[in-house]
Amino acid sequence: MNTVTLADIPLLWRAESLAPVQSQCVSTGYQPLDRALGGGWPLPSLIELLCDDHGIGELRLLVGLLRTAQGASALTAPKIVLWLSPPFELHAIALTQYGLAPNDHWVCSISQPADLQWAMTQALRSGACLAVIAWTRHLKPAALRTLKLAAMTGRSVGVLFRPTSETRLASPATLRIALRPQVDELELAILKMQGRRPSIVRIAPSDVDRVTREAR
Amino acid sequence: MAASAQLLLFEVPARPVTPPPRLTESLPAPPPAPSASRRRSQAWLALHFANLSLAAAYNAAPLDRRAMLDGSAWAVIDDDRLKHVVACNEQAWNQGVRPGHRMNAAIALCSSLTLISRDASAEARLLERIADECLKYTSAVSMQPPNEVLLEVRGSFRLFGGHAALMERIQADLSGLNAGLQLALAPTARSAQWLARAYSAPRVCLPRELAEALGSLPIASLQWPLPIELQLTRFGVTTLADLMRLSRKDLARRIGAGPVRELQQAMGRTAWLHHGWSTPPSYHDRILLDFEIETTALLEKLLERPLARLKRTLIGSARSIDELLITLKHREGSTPVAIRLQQATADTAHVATLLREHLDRLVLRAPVREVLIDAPRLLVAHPRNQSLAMDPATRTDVPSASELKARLLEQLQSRFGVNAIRALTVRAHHLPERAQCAEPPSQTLTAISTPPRLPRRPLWLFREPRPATREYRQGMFRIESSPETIETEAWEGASVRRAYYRARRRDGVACWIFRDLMSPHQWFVHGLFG
Repeated sequence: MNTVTLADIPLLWRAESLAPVQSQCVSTGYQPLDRALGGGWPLPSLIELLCDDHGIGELRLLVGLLRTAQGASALTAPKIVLWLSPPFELHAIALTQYGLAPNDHWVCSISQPADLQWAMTQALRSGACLAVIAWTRHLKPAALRTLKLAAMTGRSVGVLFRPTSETRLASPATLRIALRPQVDELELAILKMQGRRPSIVRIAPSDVDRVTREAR
Repeated sequence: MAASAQLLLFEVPARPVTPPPRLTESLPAPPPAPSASRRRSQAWLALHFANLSLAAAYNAAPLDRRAMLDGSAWAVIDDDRLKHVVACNEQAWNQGVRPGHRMNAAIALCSSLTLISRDASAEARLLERIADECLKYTSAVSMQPPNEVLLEVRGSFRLFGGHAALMERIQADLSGLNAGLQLALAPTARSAQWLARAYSAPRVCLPRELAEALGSLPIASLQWPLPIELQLTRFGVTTLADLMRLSRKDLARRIGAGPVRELQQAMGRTAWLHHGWSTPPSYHDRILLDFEIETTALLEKLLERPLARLKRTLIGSARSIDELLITLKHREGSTPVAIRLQQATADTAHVATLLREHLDRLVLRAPVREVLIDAPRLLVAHPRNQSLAMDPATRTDVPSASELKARLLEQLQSRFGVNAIRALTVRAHHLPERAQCAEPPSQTLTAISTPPRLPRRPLWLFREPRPATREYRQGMFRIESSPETIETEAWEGASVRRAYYRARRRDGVACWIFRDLMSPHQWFVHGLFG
């Protein structure tokens, strides 16, 4: 009986052998994370953040993404950020403290999962949104693929916050990160990143605060 | 002269124009030449539809009846007592039927003649439609009921490649109507009208040949009232040249001032004011269904064509809409669907997507029998500057960012309701929960600057502070910052004094907690540092 090693199969490719897929990235504001992601948040993309708790620094992760792109498009009208079904209210003053314009942040609470998926798809596809950030529970793989395609069409970033129970399910997202709070820091397990290997990064979420204060 | 040779292309050689030279000497000098130097000369194109009633009757007929009419002899008859024939098609003409015959005479000539009674309102509507169509050639359009449209086309020659090309184009565009179009181009509106009435082939009249061209016109072709025509025949006047020889004053006394004024207008000696035609201020369309519709999916399909028609109208007249009302009529009552747009647009594809959202949400309470489409106002469109088609990146029609935003907002609002989408605004207030409000997004929201020296605020804010006195006493929180005291003034209503801290809970969650200084030792969580 012949034995076939993986290397013999002609059509098999390894993840590392891929050239960097993402042409454009936005710095996260955390150097270790930038290094692990190969430059920063990929753009356009569908990003999945898996976490069960709120208040562990999950939004501060995204501040870099939201701020850079808002500043970059100074010539044109700023794009909007759409928040779909956030668990709590957003604090407008905190947004201004991070250098974001609250007027460009739209909030929409949607109870039906199908409606939420529709709204997210439309917003991503429209090209008017810089990012669409949504909190959902279960989504079918087909729905995720639709969202990713919409994000690519509209050149925007879709961010999905999902419970960690979804970790084991496969997903077509560009990037999947599981967030685990530690005592003074946040452990980011990069489960999937297109064109890169999975890794684990530890960051202190207060970093971004210090950086913005120095910037003033 | 090369120019005049080119102009004579459309001249009809059937009736050689040779007025006696002594007559021209007695006439005053042709006026258009001096007037051209004083102000910009005009070129009037008259469109005379000899068979407008025929075309209107044909267009109003249903499809199966049209097929029947195509193969047989038919005529349109007037509503008067003797039922005169107004117009007839070619087959009836070949059998000897002529406009003006009585109904009985026409039937005697052609026994298989189909008779359709004249519909004046349909004719008026058709003429309005033609006038709308003509707005694409020039903006100076004047409708002359019952069957004429006048266009001032001097400014359009260059765009359309000369008067000959323009006239050919108009003929080609309107040939589908089969309304017996007769065209004439002349320096004055009245002369163009008369020439169009007189000649069935297109006719061009230069300013300097105006008197000559008019002089050869027979009085009978002017369609003046019959008594005047008969009276002039009794004088021995058969052509306009004969008429022009007479004294204006005597003529006015004998046949009335009207025809004399018309003659003066034709010669360009007095002005003729007419009402300009422009796009109506609103748009209405009505779709009468042959069958009842019970599903909204079918309605969407059905509305595609009317929306495309609306788009053609809007683009043709350079208009845009910001509101569209669609009324679904049932056997009893009706269901209105209103679509309001953030920005005026002529893009009905976007309107169609919004409509789909509305219809998806709609539950039909009864089958639909009729659909009305109303745009209550047509706004003047402001087309954007677009680059030339050379650059592939900008070749496609890219809407601006604000337009994209408005479209997304309309789409979300049409599905979830107007108040579902909210944008954040900062308000000037000390209390964190009252320092912000969420309002439907609009262009007018203005940013308020926040004090620069505020301690870091949390991104998540609870609507109501949650009591956490017990957890605090159990040592769940580790305070990580110095206090930020927030006090409201006495005149701001309920007095509030709070000392806020940033604290980390034992499980790693960073909270924004405060001690109520009014009732000591009461602790609350007010936000999370997300």
